[in-house]
This record gives sequence, structure tokens and C-alpha cells, in this order.
Amino acid sequence: MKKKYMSLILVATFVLISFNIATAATRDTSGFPNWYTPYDGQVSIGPTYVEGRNLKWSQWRIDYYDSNDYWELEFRPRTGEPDDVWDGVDSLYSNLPGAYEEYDEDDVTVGTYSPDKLVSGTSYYGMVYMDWNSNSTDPFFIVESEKGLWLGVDGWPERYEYITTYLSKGSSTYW
Amino acid sequence: MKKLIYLLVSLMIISIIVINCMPSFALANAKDNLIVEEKEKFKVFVGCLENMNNVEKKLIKEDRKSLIKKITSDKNSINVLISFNKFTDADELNSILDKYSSEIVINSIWFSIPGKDGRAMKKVENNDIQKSITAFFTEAKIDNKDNELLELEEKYGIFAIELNCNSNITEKLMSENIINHIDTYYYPEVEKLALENEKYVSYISLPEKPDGTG
Repeated sequence: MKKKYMSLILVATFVLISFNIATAATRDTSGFPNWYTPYDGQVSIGPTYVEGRNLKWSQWRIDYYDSNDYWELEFRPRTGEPDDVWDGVDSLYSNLPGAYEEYDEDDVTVGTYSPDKLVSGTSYYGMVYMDWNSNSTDPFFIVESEKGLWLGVDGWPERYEYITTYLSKGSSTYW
Repeated sequence: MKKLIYLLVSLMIISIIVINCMPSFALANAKDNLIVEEKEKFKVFVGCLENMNNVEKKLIKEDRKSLIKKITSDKNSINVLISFNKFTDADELNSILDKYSSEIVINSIWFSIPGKDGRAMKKVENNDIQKSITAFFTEAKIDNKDNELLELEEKYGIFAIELNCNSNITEKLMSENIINHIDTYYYPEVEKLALENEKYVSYISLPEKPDGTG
């Protein structure tokens, strides 16, 4: 009987630990650029745009991706939110496969729904143009490279790393 | 003999259950490709049919159509994302949309080079598709001098549109031959989950391209 209870407790503990792991996002603090991040690239913030240019993945990096993954380049103001800087999205321009943009209360993002379809050595770009905000503030931005996994609403670990933590409007950085 | 009858009846019951549950499983599986849970939000990819087999695509299209019919009967108007089964241009699109023009507001359009990965999206002002595309290239050329932008300008085809319209129009649009998939920025099951988990829902437009490129 005791053994039965012990097994139940063990199973419950395993499920709880798994659930917590599954919903936690993991920030990589070393090894930049980690496998999901392009090995080369440039990120910029203009008066009314954010962009990633010359984004290049090698074949071994692409091979790690599968059809359930997505990759994003996120521009997150260190203070306030994108609406303090701009006035919503005007346009998107990208050659990433399954390219999309996201503009919400946290950040402005350009991403690819299908990183497994990237071609090694190709120079990728993604630009999101915003509408001018006459009361625009000038915060510093954190730029993140993030990899996630589609698996419905159960959540799954995301991995992300900082490309830069202090990028201002009108400036760019490359790696 | 009795045992054989029991076995056959059991098999029949199991088959009926499996056959009836299959579409629900396939639909749930298809929706798994569209929804992501993050720390503070749920992301939903509207208009997306990637990573789905033909059965899943069909089920999700029907599911979204019936939801649109249901919610437009309660609301005056909704935003819908429509993808086309071929690349088109402003003239053809205007000829289709002209008959509804007084009752629709075009929010944005998606276009790309047929046969190539990547896409462009532009917000539409005053329902003027051509003027908005022209403005896109004028603005983009300020920051981009690359050949791909020139190629896009020369070869682009429009493959999707987002517009605001009422129930009467959505019903009519669904019967237009050019339409591949019609979706809306509302997933009740995700909204419910978000509410329960005190998160918000971020709807991201990712309309399907007609040539199978990304």
C-alpha cells in the first residue's frame, strides 16, 4: 500500500516538475550566438522602423530546427512600450520564410514561422515600419533572438538570448 | 457464436467512436499549429495553414467559416483575413471588391514575388490598394537599395487582404471563387484560456500563399 502511495507521489512530482520546465523560458547567457541565432547579422532602429539585416544561418544551425519551431527578432523598449515610441504598424518587408510581424504592449517583432526552411548562407532581412508618433519617447531597446515551439496550449520551453541590451533609435549593431 | 457477436458489436462501437472522434482530433491537431503559450500571452496565427495536411486544412477552413457566420450574426462588423487561391493585382481585386465597396474597409494587403519565400504587408488608406502599394515602394526605397525590392516592385502579386465588413458581406465573400481561406481575429477557446490564466491574446496575421512558398 505504502509503495502505491509512494509511486503516486513520484508520478505527481514528475508531472509537476515537467509542467514547470515546460512553461519556463530559458535565457542563454553564454555561447552567443547560440544555434538558433543567425551567426551573422545587423539590427537597427530607425525613426519609424526596426530591422534585422544580413541575417545568416549555417546549415548545422538550420538542421536543429524542425517544422514545429519558430524564430523571432524582438525589439523591446527598456522602459514603456512600443506605443510610447510609435503609432502602430504600417508595413512589413521580409524574405524570411513565413515572415510575420507582431506589435504589442511588450515589443515589436519580426519572425519566421518556418525556420526549418531557411537556406544556409542566404542573407535574410526583416523590416517592420511603424506610423510616426508625434509624442515619441526615445527609450533604449533590448534586442532578443528567440526560438519557440508550437505545441498547442500546453506551453513549451522557449530559448532566447540578448543580441544587445542598449540600442537606441537611429543606431545599429552587428555581430 | 455469442462471443463472436460480442466481438463484432464491440468492434463496431469502437469504429463508430473512432470515426466520430477523428475530425475533432484532426481539428485540435491543426489548431495546435496556430497557438503558442508564452509567459504573459497566447499567440494565435490567423490565416495560417502551414504544417497541415489536406484534411486538417479543410477542417480548419470549415471551422473558421462557421465561427465567422456565428459571430457576425451578433456583431455589426468584424475584421477578416482573406487569402486567395492565386496571386492577383489591384485591378482584379478592385473588380471583385467594388460591388461591396461602400460596406467594407480594407485594412491591409499582403503581396510577394510568386515562387519566392518572404512577403510584404502594407496598411491600406481610403480603400485605395494601388495607391498604398505605390506608397510602400516609395517609402521602402528610402531605406533599401537592394535588387530584391526592385524585383518585388516588378513582379509582385497580391495574395491576401484584411478587411472590416458586416455579416452580409462575409457571407457573400465566402462564395467568391478567388477565396482560399477566410479567418478572423477571434479564437474563443484561446480567449477563454487567456482569461483563466490572466494572460492576453496576441493575434498575428500569417495568411497562406497560393504557391506554397513561405
